[in-house]
Amino acid sequence: MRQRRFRLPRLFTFADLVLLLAVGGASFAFYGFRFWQDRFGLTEPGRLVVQTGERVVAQLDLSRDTTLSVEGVLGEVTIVVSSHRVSFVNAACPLKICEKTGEISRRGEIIVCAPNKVLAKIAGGGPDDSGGLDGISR
Amino acid sequence: MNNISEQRAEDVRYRIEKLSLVAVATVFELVLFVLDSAIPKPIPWIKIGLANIVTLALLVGAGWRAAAAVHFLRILLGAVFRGGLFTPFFLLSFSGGAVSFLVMAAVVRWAVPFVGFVGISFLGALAHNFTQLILVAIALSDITVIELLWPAVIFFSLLYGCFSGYSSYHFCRRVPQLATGRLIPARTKAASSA
Amino acid sequence: MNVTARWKTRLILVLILVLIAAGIKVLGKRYLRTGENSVASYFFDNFAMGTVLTVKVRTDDKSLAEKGAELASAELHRIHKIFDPNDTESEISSLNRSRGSESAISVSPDMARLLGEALRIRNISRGNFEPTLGELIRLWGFSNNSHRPEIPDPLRIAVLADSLGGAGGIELIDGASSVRIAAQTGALDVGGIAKGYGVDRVVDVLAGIGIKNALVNLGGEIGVLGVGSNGRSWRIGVQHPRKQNCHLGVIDQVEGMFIATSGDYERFFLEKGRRYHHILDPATGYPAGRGTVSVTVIASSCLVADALATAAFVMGPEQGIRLLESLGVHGLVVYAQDGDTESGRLAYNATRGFLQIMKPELEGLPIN
Repeated sequence: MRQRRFRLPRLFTFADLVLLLAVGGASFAFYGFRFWQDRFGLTEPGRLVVQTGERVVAQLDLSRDTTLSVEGVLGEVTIVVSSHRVSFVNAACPLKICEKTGEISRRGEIIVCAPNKVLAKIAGGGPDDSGGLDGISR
Repeated sequence: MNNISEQRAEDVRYRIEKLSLVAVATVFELVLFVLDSAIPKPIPWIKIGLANIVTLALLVGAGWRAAAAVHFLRILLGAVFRGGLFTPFFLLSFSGGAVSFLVMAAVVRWAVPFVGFVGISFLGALAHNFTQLILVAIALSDITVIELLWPAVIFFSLLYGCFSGYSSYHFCRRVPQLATGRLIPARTKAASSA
Repeated sequence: MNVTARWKTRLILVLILVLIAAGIKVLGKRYLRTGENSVASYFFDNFAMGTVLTVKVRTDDKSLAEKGAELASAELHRIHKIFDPNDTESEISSLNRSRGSESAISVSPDMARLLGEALRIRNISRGNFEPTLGELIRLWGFSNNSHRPEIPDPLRIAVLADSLGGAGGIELIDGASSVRIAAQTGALDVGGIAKGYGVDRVVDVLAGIGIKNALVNLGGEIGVLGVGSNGRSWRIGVQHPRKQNCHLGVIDQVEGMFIATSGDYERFFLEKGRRYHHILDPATGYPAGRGTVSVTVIASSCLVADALATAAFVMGPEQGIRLLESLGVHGLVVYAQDGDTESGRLAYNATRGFLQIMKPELEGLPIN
């Protein structure tokens, strides 16, 4: 066809606006969702792995408040999960360093009662890395 | 009214027009392409798509055949000039260009005037960049690349797409001859240029 | 539509566009940052040497990481067998039993190396780091696991402290391949620095199998290889000596560093409001009482870092830092401002090099 009627399309139609907003808004929303998930550790339920020596004796769901007593080398060690935070109480060891460690809540953190060989570590879920720290010198 | 010689003259003129249009437009696109590559950008591989301004203008004004000719000629020659024929970059460039052309041509053919210049460009940019992203992920056997970069792709497609859509629109308005290919004013009353 | 209205709509449209795009970009940057650690990290936690070993390896080769963890455990197990004071079969126990013998006892290369370093540091710290406090340590009872420590009989403390031999007690012969210990020398107990040595050995082992980036944390003693997940450095926090879940700051600029902290906040007991901790002053036989609360040292090996941290702890904030400066290592001493480690306010003294790496925040920064 040699004589085409040249109808110049419009620059920015309503459909365009809808398209832009939809794609832009959808990605914004999806992103924000993932971001929020990541931030509040909702991507995967947090899990606490408890082991005595080499053996894993329990895996606790961090979203549920629990109290667990574990039998260590010297005696009992009580592990408390409360509001997604873990701490050791009532440990049968002379120096109670584990109790003094305080609470852990992020993936990769651990509390250990060395004399009793009881180790609790947070695996999976939860924001990762203690505020960006790879280790603590103590 | 048109005797045979006049008709033939029209044909020849038509062909010369078409050839000239493709030639000029290709040169234009090539220049824009080189310029595009030279402008510093936060993510260098997501190009602004300056050359596509002409492609879109042609799609709208001269039909998909002319546009396709120019577009693919530009990709080819662009690769040749950058020393990249038959390299992975060429493949990426070509695939992105092909998919985005198909998308834009389809939209122009069926969705105009519902969708405007900005929308077409945006979709074209999206298609181009996503195609390239997917190919890169396949090439690296690493799907997390997509996971990491898709927001950047959308963001830049939005940005660049709007810009080139806007430019294309004004290009068509100011220089319709280049878009439609009616470079030589018609002498017969039947032909007209918008 | 007239011209101004047209431009207004354009402006509004551009603004909406920019807003959406910016939003995505901002979130994207945030999300992208966590994607920087695209190399996988493997964590291993194990019991070793009476405490917990945590090894973090950054590699794409999972089997390499696992092999590293295994070798690390095995190495520490081996070292523990050499230096464990509570194990009567350990090399150090037999060495202690050989005190006063005429002939020199041949020792393993590990023992030789550790003893050599220990004696060297004893010398340069003018006796503030003393590896022969075995009897005193057992007397105070911080190392035993069965019952809580109590204040021992002061007379016994005095006797043991006085009887500590001078520098001549331990003789290294033939380039330290054999050792002779004089009869009056105190029993060797290298509990702390053995862990430091362990960290050094594990780092060597990991490097030996080709691991480029790793972090070894043995009960708070730290050695690193390469860089962490931010691509620049591993980030190590220093525990706040008085606040749980708090740290004093982050050490994150030094590659290939070894960090050890000696503190009075883990192995201690309180009696009548006074704190008795495990870092003994060789001169008195009692826990070091110059007001030090914790010492952190960054050095070229964990063994040295640990020994110097202990020495500096005993020496106190001024002398300790002076010692560290003179040796060219970085260190931080946190102490009680008015000498009262229980209720006193904290202050710190640090080497210039340390301050360039980290500025301690005495209020404490939350770990979580």
